[in-house]
Amino acid sequence: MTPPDSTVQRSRGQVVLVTAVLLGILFISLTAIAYEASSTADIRAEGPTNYAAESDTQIQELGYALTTAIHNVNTDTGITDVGARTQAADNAITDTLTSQQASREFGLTTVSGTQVEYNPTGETVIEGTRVAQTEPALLTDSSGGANWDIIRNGGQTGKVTIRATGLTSGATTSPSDRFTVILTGDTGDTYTVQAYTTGSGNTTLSYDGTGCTVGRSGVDRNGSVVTIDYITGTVNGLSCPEYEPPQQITDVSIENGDQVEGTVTVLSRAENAQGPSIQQTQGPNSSTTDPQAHHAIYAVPVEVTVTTEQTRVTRTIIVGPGRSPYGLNP
Amino acid sequence: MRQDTHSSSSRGAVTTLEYAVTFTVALSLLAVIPSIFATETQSAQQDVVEAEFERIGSDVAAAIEAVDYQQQRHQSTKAASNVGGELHASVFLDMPTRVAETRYTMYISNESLIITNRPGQPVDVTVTYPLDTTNTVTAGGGTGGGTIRVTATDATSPIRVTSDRSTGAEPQS
Repeated sequence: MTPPDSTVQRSRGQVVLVTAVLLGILFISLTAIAYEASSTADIRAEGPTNYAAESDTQIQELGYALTTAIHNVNTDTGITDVGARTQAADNAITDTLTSQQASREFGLTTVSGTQVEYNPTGETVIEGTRVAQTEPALLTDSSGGANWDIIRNGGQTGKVTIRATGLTSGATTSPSDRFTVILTGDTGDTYTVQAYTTGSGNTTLSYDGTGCTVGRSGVDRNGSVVTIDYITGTVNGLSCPEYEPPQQITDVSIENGDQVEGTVTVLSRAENAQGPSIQQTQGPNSSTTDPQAHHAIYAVPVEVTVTTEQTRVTRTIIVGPGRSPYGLNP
Repeated sequence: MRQDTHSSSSRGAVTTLEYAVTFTVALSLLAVIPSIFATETQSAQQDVVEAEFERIGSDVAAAIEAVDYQQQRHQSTKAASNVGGELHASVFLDMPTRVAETRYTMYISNESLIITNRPGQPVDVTVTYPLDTTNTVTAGGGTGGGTIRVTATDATSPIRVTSDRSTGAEPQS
């Protein structure tokens, strides 16, 4: 049976309308795609990069390597002559710069450096004094009454490390009898640091009217070795956040101690202080365990150049064992 | 027979009407849709340009502050220690020459980095980044996109933002 004409016409009209709508949608889509395509950025910018950190990481690595080289020269007991130590330091720095440069030879990053002069003297190596007691011994006498000036008039001090055993308990020792180190700044300000153990075996550093207990329970037991860095305020590598000794420490002394035993390392800037002149008070024990003061390399100024993919920096840094040396002006 | 003639002419009229309607609809679509999309796209383009300017600005500002940081580190070392040594600090940035079909320029004004579209661009966008630097910063009369160099050639000189295609070249004083 053939459908009536009106039905055929209606169907055709619907087909035309549907086609028109579909064409419209297609047209809209094509238009949208065309506009979007034309409005897309050719190259998108990258997000912000910490360019300072990019260079500083390389400079820091170079600084660590140079510091290690200087430390090795300072602790070389085979060197007894000032000139020989200075020459050894120059050689070690040159070798380190060469090896650091070579280690990056095939990368995008390059590092190079050259020693520069300390203007007042024209020298490329800043000399200092190192006081080292390498054999464990009592850090004061058995009475605990003899104070000991480890270094006096040291100009500035980059490293003060004591590795001690037998710290007394804070619970049973009066504050005046605790192991006490006094750091004196160039303006005469003092920073008193006491160290004692807690009941759980941790170590407390008490300083500047406050304190900080560090250590993991059961690890730093009373009687075990505790390494205290008096420049950075760390105990066995764990830090006290508010610890802040004077910027330029000229004097370092130990008071009381009550039979605390240990070793001491101090690196100070005082020049030409080889021998006992830097150590105005003799150590409390026999000469075999007395600390020895000897000439050392305190710091070395280096002009370093670092090139990364996007940065190029040339600037002067000063490297040396311990705290990054503060100003070297006389 | 008369009925057939009437039916045929009626069908012709309807068909004509249908074509006319379809044509009108298509014409309307042609006339209206592009302008709607043009408006929408311009709005989207505005957003894209603003986002890209912010991204470029943050990157250039980071480079400026990195150079300033190196200047200050060098300056403080030399001031405190009276030692030799020179300072060169450069950051090279590869920026798009245009974003979302928009060319732009950057300049320094009132201790801020300003990125704005060049005249005659499809959108009008300006992004401002306050700078916290010790030494002054200059971008001359304005620097466009492409390879940009942010550089300082001594511890106290102004930090310069310039166009530079010689990436990795020795900074010129």
